[in-house]
Amino acid sequence: MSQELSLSILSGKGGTGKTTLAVNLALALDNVQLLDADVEEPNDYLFVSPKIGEKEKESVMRLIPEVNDEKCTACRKCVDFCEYNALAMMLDKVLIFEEVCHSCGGCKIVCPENAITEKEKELGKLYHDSLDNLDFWQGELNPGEEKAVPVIEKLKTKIDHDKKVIIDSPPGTTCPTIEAIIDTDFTIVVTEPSTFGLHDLKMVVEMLNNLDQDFAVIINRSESDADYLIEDYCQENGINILLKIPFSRKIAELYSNGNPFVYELEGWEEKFKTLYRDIIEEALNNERNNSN
Amino acid sequence: MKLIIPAVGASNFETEIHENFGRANYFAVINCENNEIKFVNNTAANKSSGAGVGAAQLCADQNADAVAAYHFGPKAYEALKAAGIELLDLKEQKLIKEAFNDYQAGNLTEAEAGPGGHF
Amino acid sequence: MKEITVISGKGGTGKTTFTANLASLLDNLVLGDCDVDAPNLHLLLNPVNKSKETYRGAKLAIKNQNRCIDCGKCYDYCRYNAITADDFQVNNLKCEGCGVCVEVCPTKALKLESIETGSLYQAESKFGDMIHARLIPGADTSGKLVSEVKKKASEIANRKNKDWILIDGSPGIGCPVIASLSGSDMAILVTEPTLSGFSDLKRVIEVVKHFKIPAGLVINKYDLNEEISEKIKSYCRKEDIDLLTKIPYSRIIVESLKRGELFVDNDQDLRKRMLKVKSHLTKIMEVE
Repeated sequence: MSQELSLSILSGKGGTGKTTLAVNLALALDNVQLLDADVEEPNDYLFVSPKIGEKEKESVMRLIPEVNDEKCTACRKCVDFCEYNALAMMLDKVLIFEEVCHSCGGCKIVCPENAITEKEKELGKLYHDSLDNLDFWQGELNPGEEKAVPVIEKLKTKIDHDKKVIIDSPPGTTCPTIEAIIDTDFTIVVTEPSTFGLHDLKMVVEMLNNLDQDFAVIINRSESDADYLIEDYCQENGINILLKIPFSRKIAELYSNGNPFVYELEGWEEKFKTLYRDIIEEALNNERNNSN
Repeated sequence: MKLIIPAVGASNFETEIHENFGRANYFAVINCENNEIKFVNNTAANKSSGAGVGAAQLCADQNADAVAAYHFGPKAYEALKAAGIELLDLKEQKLIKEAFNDYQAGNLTEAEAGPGGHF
Repeated sequence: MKEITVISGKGGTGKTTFTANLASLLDNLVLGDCDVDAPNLHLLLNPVNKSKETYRGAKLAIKNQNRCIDCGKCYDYCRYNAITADDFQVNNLKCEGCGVCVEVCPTKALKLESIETGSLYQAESKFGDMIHARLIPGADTSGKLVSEVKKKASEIANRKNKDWILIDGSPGIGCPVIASLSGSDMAILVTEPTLSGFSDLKRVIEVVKHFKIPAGLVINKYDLNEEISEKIKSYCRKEDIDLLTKIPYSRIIVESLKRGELFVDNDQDLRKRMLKVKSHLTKIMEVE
């Protein structure tokens, strides 16, 4: 791998420790870029750039139809075409409902009078903060908007392949998650040793296998008498566990205050550096195996 | 005058009122002049979003003068208002006939735009 | 009959654990798991499924290869990168079912078809009927499936004359959460005293206010950071949201979860804290 590695961090369930891992790993490394792709509820900024709202930002736009009432003959082709009920015809006037419009452009195409044009509407924003050790990007979906994927797509155009890239992905197995992880070299799945954690881990593994994505697992809130839940499953399925972060009230307290523990707790910076080396080795091994 | 009420079934005045306007199974279309009732399928409910808008479109296409329901989402509200249709509030009524009787007696008040529910 | 929806904003605050434990304290209820992307309630309540329905929540463009003349118009017009550049095939993961490619294809080689995107289950748990559902990974329109879960729960509650519909809502602030809240009589916000939790809670409160639904607050793991707990409490009070109860960061809860047990059965203090929620609910719901 001549370029630096791009890594996505994922969890089946929210609140498992995705952000904890992404942030602490990013802070332990040099020449790194952290992208928060959890655009519905971005949280990384709390730990690396609390004043991100004041930093440089750019809009992510989408297109919404606009009807020229003078050209409109009330033929209703646009209303009948729309799969999302974003258009209605009331008293021979076309009404547009922006929130459910999917920006497909179809109404404009079917209109026989060329009465429909498109205007831009802000879907979300990208924020950027350049820190000493870390280049930080955040994607954010505007409240009321549904479509996260275009924001994540735009965020990904900021990826700098000369840096070690870490993408904090949205939790779950829906389209935005897939968009965030799909072009990365390797995925880390964060899980917790509980029945909820195992259930959601299985969901995520199914998705990753369908996507042919290389991955390994990290156990957060690890406990010696509960880890077996995850360990047994991983062993049965040939999945490697690269790190265990212990269940620790201290870590939880630091987290609650937006304090990443990598600098506060002794030995962790080294552990994360080692983790990264292990990830690279794991990724290389997979590459070799895949080409055989 | 034509009055429309979202319905659970498609039988007669004894049918239950549907709790949701946009995703009702049927709409009871009542001709207030001769008290005749007919039912139409709510095709809007099949779409993945904007059910309230689609339902409002349906009511407008039926030339409704008034629509009565438990609550209207903001889009359904906007769409029905744009069509010049009167929006009426239902509360404790359970069956279509109860709502209709209250309507005839002039007991139904104007509905306000409901919160949220953007599909 | 009253519908209570439990939401959290941030995932992992303890929403589902809370809902399961509350369910064991209420009488005469129907349960709905509206977290259709990652349903967890069934893991604690172990319901027995009685029926399963296929959910067809989306449409996809399907291509008849025989009619295709490789003109590439579908590729040109598709806004979701859902048509591959080299062989003009439909990428099912990206396709939004908008119908534009169907419209522009000169030989009518494409059409829209409804596809199965999930399943809806009607089940019985020891606390009452339970409706839950599951979306296929990569599938969209969870909002509509959430509505289906609520609709079924409502039907059963009406038919069997239940007192409560208890909904385990979706995390986040988007469509599925709005669908979870739609028509509810009250929202219970389960949060944790962390900056992330507080930040997400504020966003979800905006959604709840928009709905004009009365809400109550539950702070889970409150003693993890009492300073932030207090901040959350005052913020909520200003928004007319009362604290229903607070639950400590407790080993007993962790151990109970590990064994798939309810913590209210394992500790009197925790049980009392949850009973506070029940009495709040009963009081609020009576004053109507």
